[in-house]
Amino acid sequence: MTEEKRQEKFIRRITDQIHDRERANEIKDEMRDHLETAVADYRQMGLSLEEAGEKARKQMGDPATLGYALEHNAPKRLTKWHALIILLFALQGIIASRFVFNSWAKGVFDWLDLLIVGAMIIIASVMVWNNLKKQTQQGKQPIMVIRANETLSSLDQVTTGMLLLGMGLVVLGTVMSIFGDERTTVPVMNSLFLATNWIVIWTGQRVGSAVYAEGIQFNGGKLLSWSEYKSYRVLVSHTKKGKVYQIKLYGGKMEPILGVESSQLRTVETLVSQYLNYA
Amino acid sequence: MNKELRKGINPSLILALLQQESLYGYALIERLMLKTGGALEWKEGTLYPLLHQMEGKGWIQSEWQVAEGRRRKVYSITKKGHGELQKQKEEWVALQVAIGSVLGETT
Repeated sequence: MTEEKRQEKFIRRITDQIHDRERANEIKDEMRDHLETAVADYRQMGLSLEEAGEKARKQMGDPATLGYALEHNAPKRLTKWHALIILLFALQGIIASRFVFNSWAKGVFDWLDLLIVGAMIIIASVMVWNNLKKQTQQGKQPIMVIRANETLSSLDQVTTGMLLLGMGLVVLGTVMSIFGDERTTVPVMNSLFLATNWIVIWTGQRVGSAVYAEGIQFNGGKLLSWSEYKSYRVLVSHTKKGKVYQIKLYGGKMEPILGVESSQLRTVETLVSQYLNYA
Repeated sequence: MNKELRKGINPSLILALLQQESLYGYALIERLMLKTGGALEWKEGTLYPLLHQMEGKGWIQSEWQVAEGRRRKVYSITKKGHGELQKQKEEWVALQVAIGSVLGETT
């Protein structure tokens, strides 16, 4: 592997922890600048390119831990997605309010309304999908990750139910506004759209963030809120000397998934302390 | 110096260094080492999350520049940051006096 590739791999391990893609790209550039400045300094001291790269990376510490810390110190800001959602809500509000004042451009607005609702459903779905994808990637991190074995815990199943209900209501509302008695159904359904869209977006984010939060229970040798997860089915995965071990725990008993012989099975607490010694 | 004790003064140190001039992460680490003769130093794992947190609080702001053929994020202090630095300086002096009055008795 070339030095450049080693550096990029290291940076990727930092940014793998970053949720917002735009922010991840900025962090990538910032970390690259830092590493390359450090490498240039070490080179001036007479180190070879490989030695300088190695030293610069070592100086930065564990990349996943740095990424985790950066993710949890993220400045709160309006992302493009959020701005788009707010814009779509505003547009829908305008369309819904047209019935109060006039009905002259109803035909045109109905189709526009459909487009907006469609766009909002797509955005909500993309949010959920991205968050779930991110969660899956967490399991591949070369640090110990303890997470709920089920994709969604029971609480998240409720919010998923709400998400589906919201989506269902949007579809129902759309059908009714097209085929129903327009004078009564359309204004009602438009208001319903506003409410259900909100449910769709909110639950979409809720599900995503809840699943994502469960993904990071172990960070740089420090176990966070372990007690809450003792009763969960958990999946433990960690890398030791490049080999990934995964153990599924249920009700105190473990069953191996891959990489671990049953004779090697230990309690999660033992595994954690073993990892602490290793780290 | 004690790690926990040092942690609390990191934001003040960053603000004080940025008050003198705008700096990027690597230069901030170097500048602190130089100024304190190596008595204080930041690890990247401490500095960058803190910089991002302080930017979120509006104490500092960043700007992308091009240096040595690559993008460089340069931080500078904001008006809010100046106010915060002043506040933290006053707190620090008050703490120094308070601690000094207790520890001084034993020497």
